[in-house]
Amino acid sequence: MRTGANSQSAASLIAAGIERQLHEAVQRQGRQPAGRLAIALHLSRLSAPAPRPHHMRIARACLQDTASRYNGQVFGLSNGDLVLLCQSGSGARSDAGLSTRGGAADPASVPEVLRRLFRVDTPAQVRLVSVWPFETHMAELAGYVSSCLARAPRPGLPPPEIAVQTTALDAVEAVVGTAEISDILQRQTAVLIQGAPRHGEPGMLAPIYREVTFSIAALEARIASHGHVNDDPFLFRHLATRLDRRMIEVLTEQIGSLGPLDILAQSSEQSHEQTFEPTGEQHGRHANRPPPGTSLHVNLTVAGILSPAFDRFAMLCTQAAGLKGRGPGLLGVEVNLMEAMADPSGFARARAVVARSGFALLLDGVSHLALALCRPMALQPDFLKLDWSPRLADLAVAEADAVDEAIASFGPQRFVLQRAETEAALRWGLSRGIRRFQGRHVDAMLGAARIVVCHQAPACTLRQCIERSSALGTAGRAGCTNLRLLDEGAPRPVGSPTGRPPKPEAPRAPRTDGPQRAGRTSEILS
Amino acid sequence: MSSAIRHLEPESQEADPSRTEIARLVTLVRDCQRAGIARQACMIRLSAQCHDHKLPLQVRLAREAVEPLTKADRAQLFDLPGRDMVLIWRGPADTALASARTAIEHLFDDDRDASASSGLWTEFHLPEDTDRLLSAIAETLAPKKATPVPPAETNALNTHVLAAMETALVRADVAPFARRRDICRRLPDGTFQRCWEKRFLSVEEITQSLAPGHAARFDPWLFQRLTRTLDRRMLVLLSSAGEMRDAGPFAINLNVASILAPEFLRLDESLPGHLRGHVVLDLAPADILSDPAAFVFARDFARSRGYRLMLRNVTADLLAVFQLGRIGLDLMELRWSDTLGRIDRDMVLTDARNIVLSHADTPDAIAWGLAHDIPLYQGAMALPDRSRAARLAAG
Repeated sequence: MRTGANSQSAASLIAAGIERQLHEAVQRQGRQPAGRLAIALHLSRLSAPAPRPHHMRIARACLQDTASRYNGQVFGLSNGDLVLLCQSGSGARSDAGLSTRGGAADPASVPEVLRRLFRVDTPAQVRLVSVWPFETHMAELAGYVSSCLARAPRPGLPPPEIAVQTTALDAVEAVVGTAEISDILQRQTAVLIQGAPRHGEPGMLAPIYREVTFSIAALEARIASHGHVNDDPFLFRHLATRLDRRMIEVLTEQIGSLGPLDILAQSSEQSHEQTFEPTGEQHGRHANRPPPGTSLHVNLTVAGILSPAFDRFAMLCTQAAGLKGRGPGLLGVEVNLMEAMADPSGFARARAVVARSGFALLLDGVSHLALALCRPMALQPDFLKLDWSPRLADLAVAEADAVDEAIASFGPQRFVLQRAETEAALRWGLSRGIRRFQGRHVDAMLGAARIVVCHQAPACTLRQCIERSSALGTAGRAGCTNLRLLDEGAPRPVGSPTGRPPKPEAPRAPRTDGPQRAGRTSEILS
Repeated sequence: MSSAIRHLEPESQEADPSRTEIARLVTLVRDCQRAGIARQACMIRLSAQCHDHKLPLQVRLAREAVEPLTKADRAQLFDLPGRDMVLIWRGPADTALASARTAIEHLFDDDRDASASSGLWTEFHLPEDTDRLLSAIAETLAPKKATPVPPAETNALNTHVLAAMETALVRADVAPFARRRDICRRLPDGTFQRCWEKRFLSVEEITQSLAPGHAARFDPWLFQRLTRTLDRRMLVLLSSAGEMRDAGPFAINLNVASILAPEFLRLDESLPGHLRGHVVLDLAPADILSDPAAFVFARDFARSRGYRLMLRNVTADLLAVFQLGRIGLDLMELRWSDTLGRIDRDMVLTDARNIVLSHADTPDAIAWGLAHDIPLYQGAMALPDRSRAARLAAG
C-alpha cells in the first residue's frame, strides 16, 4: 500500500515537474518572443482507445524532428498532450510538400501533418492542434500552460504495450476441451426490422438468427492469470482455428437433439415469412438460398470449413433433414474478413463448400474503415456484417461517400449492422436501407418486448432478462421461470397493437420510438 | 514421347522399387487413355520446393495433408524419386481435394523466400490430360534429385516454440539469414533492369537454426505473429553502422505495427539522404485489415517521411478487392499463378502501371504481364541483364 502511494506521489511530482518546466521555458522565451512559436498537440482530446502507445511515439518523433532543426524542445505533459516550443520556420513549404522529411519538419507544416495523421482518430468538433506564436498569442499560451499546471496530474496515460502471452492460448485451449460447452458459449439474436411505420406504430422486429459464439469473457475468467486472449489479432486467429474444431464437433453431436445447438431444431420455431422481407428482398443468385435468418449462426475459419469434420457435419445434416422430409438445416457460417484476406483462394473454396451444403456465408468483422479502404463484397459472401461505430455518424465526406457507395452497390438488404449498441446505430442503418441489426440495443428491445408479455416479469429486471437470454448454460439462465418465452426471441413485435407499453420502472428500458423515428427517416430517404 | 518415359515402359522395368512404382503409374495412365476411363490425378512436386535439410518434416506433413484424398474411390498413391507424389482416384472428391491442396500450399507458401509454389500442385483429368501427365512424370525424372535424408523427429510450430523463438531472436544475429532478390523493369529491348532490391530474412533458415525440425509456415497465424519479431530484427540490422552506406533502393516486408515501432524510427533516423524516397515498405492485406485505423495512421506517417508503400501478396482472388487509389498505396505486388493466367486477357487492370508481377518464373507469366501493361517484375524470368549492366558500367 505504502509503496503504491509513494510511487504515485513520485509520479505526480515528476509529472508536475514537466508542467513546471514548460511554464518556466515559456516565461523565459517570452522575454524575446520574436520568431518563437508553440505547437500543442492535444492527444488528451482523442476518444478512447486513442491515444494509443504508437500515437504518442510517432507524434513525439515528428515534433522532436522539428525541435532538433528549429532550436526547440518537446514537453510530454502528464495528460498526454505534447507541446513543442521552437523557432518558427521559413513558412515556405518545399516543392515536395509533405513527401520529404525536411518539408514535413518545417513548423509551418507540422500542424497539417499531425492533423492528417490523426484524422481517423479525431472526433468531429475537436481541435487537435493549437499553434501559438509568442508575439501574437502569448495570452492563450500562458492560459493553457497555467491550466495544465493547475490540473492535478491524472493517471490517464495509455497502458504500456504488453505482448500477449502465448501461454494464455494454451490455457484457453485446455478450457475449451474440458469445460461444459454450454457454460462457455453465448448467443445473441439478430432482427429484421420490417415494414414502414403506419399510424404511429413503429416497424416490427422479427428475430432472424441467433449467433452462438465462445464467450471470451467466460474463457478469460477461467484462465484469470493469463491475461486477455484477443489483444493480439494474429494469436486470436490461431486460437480461432482451435475453437473451430470444438464448435464443429458440438454441432455434429447436437444434430437432432432439439437443443439450442441443433440446427434442424432452429428453423421449426419460425416460418420463412418472418425472415424474408415481404417484397423485394430477394434477387439474383440469392433467391433460392436460405436467408441468414431462421437459424443458428456460428463463426468458423477457412481451414475449419475445408476440414473433413465440416464435410461430415454437412453430410449428416442433409441426411437427418432428409429423414424428416425437409431441406438441410439452416445455418449461417460467419467468416472473419482477416481470414479471407490471408487465404483468398481458400476462402473461395470454403464459400463453395458452404453453398453446396445449403448454408449461408457471411463476411464478419468488417469495419467502416475496411469498407472505405477496400471492397470486401468482391469476395462474394451472401451477406456482410458491418461493425457499427459512433464514428460512422461523423465521417469525413470522402469516407462517408465510400461507405455509402459500398452499401448501395452490394445492396443494403445484404448487410447486417452489428454491435448496434445505441438507437443512433439503428437510425444510421435504417436511413441507408439496412434493416438487419444485431447488438446490445437490439437485445434491450427484445428484452423489453419479453417483459411486456411475461407474467413472471415482476420478479426480474430487464438487465437480468437480457443476460439470461444470452446464456446457453443452466447457470446463466437460473432465475428465469419462463424459459419458453426466454428462448423465443421476440414474442410479439415491439409496439404492435397487442403489446403493452414497456413498464416505466424497467431499468434501461429502450425508447420504443427508436425504430419508429428511424423508420420515418428511411421512408423520407426512399 | 520423351526418352525418360520410354525408359519406363513396363518392358524396360528393373528391380529398383521406385522404378517399379513409376512403371505401374505409367501403365495405369496409359490404360486409362486406351480404355477411355475417367480418373482424376494430381501431382505434388515436393522436390522442386524444398532444400534437402527440410525434407523429412515437409514430406511427413505433406503426406498427412493428402491423407483424406487417399480415401477417395479407387485412390492410388505413387511415390516418385525426390519425394514427388502422384495421386489418382475416381470421382470429384472436392472437399478432400480442396483441404489437401490448402494444407500443402500453406506448407510451402514461403512468401519471404525466393521459392515459387508454382508447379507444387498440378491437377489432371484423365484421359484428356494423359500426355501432360506423362511429360510431367518425365520431368520429375530428368533433373538431379534431392538425396534422401534420414527422417528426423520434427513438428509444426506451436505456441511454446513460438515463444522460445521470439526470446531467442532478441539476441540472435540475423545477418547470416539476410537475403535479397531483384525487382526489375522490363525494357523495350526485352531485357530487365533492376529497380530495387527486396531485402528479407529467410524464415525457413532462421526456423531451422532456432527451432530445428519445425515448420514456421504451417500455422499461418503463428507465422504472422513471428514476422513482427522478424521485422524488428530486420530493422535493427538495416540501421546498423555501415549497412546503408552503399545500399541502393530497397524494399522490406513490414507489419503495420512495425512501422510504428521504435526500431523503425531508428532506421528512419539513419537513412541516408540519397535513399529517402527510394525505400518501399511492403504490407500484407490481412495485416492491414487487422487494424485499419493503425494502418491509416502508419500509412500517412510513412508517406510524410518519403517512403513508398506497396500492397504485397495480392492474388487473383483479391484483385477485385483492392484498388491502389482507394487504399491509398503506391504499388501493388500481384502474385503470378495459373489462376491469374486464366483471367481474361482483355480485362483492364486499373493499376497496371504500378503493379509488380511477382513469382514470374515462366514465359507465360511475362507474356500475361506484358498483355496487361505491367512494367515491373520479380522472378526467375525477370532477372537483371548483368552483361548489359557491366557494359554500361564499363562506359
